[in-house]
Amino acid sequence: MEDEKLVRSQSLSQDEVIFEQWKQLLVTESSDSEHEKDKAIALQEQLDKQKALAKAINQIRRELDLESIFGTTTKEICDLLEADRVAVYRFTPNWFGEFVAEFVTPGWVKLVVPESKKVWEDTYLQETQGGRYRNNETFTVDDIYKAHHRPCHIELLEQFEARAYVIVPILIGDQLWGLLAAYQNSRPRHWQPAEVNFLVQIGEQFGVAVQQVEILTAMQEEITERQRAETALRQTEQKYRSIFENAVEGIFQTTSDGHYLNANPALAKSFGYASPEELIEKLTDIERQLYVDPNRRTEFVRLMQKDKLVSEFESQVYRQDGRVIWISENAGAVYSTNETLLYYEGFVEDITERKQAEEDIRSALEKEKELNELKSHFVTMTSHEFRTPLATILSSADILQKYSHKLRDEQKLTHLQQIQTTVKHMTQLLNDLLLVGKAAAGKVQFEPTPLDLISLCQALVKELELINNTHAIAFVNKGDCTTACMDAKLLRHILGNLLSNAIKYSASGSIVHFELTCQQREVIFHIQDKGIGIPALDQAQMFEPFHRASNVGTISGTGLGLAIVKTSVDLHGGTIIVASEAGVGTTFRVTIPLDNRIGIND
Amino acid sequence: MTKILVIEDEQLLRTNTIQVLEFEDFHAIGAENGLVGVRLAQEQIPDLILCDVMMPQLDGYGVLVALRQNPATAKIPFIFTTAKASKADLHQGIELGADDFLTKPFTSDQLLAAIATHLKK
Repeated sequence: MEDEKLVRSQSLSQDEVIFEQWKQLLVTESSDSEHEKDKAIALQEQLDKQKALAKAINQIRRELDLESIFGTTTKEICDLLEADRVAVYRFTPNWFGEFVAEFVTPGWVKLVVPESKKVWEDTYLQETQGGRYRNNETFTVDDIYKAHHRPCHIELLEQFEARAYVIVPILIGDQLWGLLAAYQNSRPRHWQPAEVNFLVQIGEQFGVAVQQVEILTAMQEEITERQRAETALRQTEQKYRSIFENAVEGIFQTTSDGHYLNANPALAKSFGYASPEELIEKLTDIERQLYVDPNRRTEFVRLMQKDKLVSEFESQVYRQDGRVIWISENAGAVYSTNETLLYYEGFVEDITERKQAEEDIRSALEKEKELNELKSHFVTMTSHEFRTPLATILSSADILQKYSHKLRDEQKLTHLQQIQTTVKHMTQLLNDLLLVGKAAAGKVQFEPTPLDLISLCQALVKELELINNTHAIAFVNKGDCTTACMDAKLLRHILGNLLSNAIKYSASGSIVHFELTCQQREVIFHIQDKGIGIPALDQAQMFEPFHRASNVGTISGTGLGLAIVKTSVDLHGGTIIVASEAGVGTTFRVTIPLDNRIGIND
Repeated sequence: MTKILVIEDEQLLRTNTIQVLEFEDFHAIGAENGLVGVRLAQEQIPDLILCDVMMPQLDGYGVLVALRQNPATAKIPFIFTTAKASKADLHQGIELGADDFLTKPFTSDQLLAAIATHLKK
């Protein structure tokens, strides 16, 4: 017996053990008295109930599954009370209700049917929003036919097959959640206060259980919600971080005292730092370190204060390596809820290329304008140069026509000759112009051939002396000139123009000196006159088309001679130097490479 | 006899113009540049002046300004002859006080008509 007891003790919970021992104690200590025996039985029953209650409490503490708590406990109660049904009834929001759990002995109708959720419409309970149970009262009916129930109430109870019942409230705090009911269906029953009390205590525990479950559910929902929000946040954060990290434009956050809170890789790259971290660490004084003009930062802050934003703010800034770039900033100011400035944030675009392009365009336009002005000037000058000889021709022809009767024969002849001379002059002008134009367009043919320089020069001298029988040209040559290779046509332009000028601009009878010196790699032409000279001021412009010195007086000329000389010299890859003094004379010195065959002079 | 001063640096043109004027019974005086022209105008006080615009050293505008400043020569009718005929040049001449313009090349008829118009005044 003792061993049996011991084994049984070990298999029960601690509470149960105490109760068992106490029970055993009472049983062994009971006397033979009937009264005592009754008392013992009552006590035992009391203990059993306490045990059941304790077990229910334990289960509630351990588990959070309402279904199993209700299920187990309703069975225990039903057994203990020897009732036919113990059920848990939950109110719906509109104070109808449904049975959510029950233990019913066999043979009785089931009120809890899993497939169909029957909602009971108890109008009394609905009208009173739970009736007496709201006030934590119980209701005991020993016999439904003797309880003065309304007929509709009895009808309802008959559906439950109930004959006697006890109902206790299940409260969560002050709120009525549902009811715990014990039914005797087979016969009426007088419910003992202890039994009712017991049910009340279970009802209270059920309230605790339901509350626990509700709290737990709420907590779980909150956790799920929070997890969902965290995931959403993380996804959003990833999305924006990706934009931030991969943006082509620089993105920044800076404080009002001039350091960086945040910078993206593009910004670090623009400013020449290895990483955003390096930028934040090293660039701590934006006013002094970043902007070339420190006033830019002041201006930036001023605009922020005025408009709370800055748009297309262009400035020159220093990269880490000291190089200067142009940037354009678009940014705004971010404030806290109490209106204090938190930081500036925005975008930075490197516009150095654009600025450079703008500068290039501006400069090109400038050049274009200059060129157009030059062209315009050239056209004006040219038209002027033609109008004058045309005026001469017209006036001579006019006179011949209108006043021929008043003219002597020789006068008529003179006019005719004038016309012819002027035509020749215009033709020469035209040719010179075409040459100058061709040279400007880079279209003059350069055709070097081996020549006999000395013969060429001698022939030229003779020709000029013949035309202008006013001057003598003293020609001297030195060195070996047999291997010369040059463009004959262009050479005639050079020498012809220079010699003609020497004759034209010096007094009749004076001598022009022409010296040819052939050296190993180059040839030097020296042409000297004792003429009117070229004033210093004119020397700077003398190679420009149409330019005529201020001291030419009435000596005619196209103003194109020297321009043609210069072009011809340039095409040979040579040089031309002048030494001249107004009123004294002029010396030109032209140096040309000896051998101009293509490839030799590279 | 009406005296006309011809200021023109192109020799052939100047002599032709003088010949035409002489044939038309004007007394024509020639000046080969602006400076000579101003001097002769002040000395001779002609009845009309023909003056080329494009001349070295002192151009036609300079001559006009110089003569207009001298009360003796300020009222003499002044006709520009010029190969430059842009609107800007015309305006400049009129602004300075010239009476008329002749664009080269011009016929002797055109020349005589202009002279006749401005001598009448």
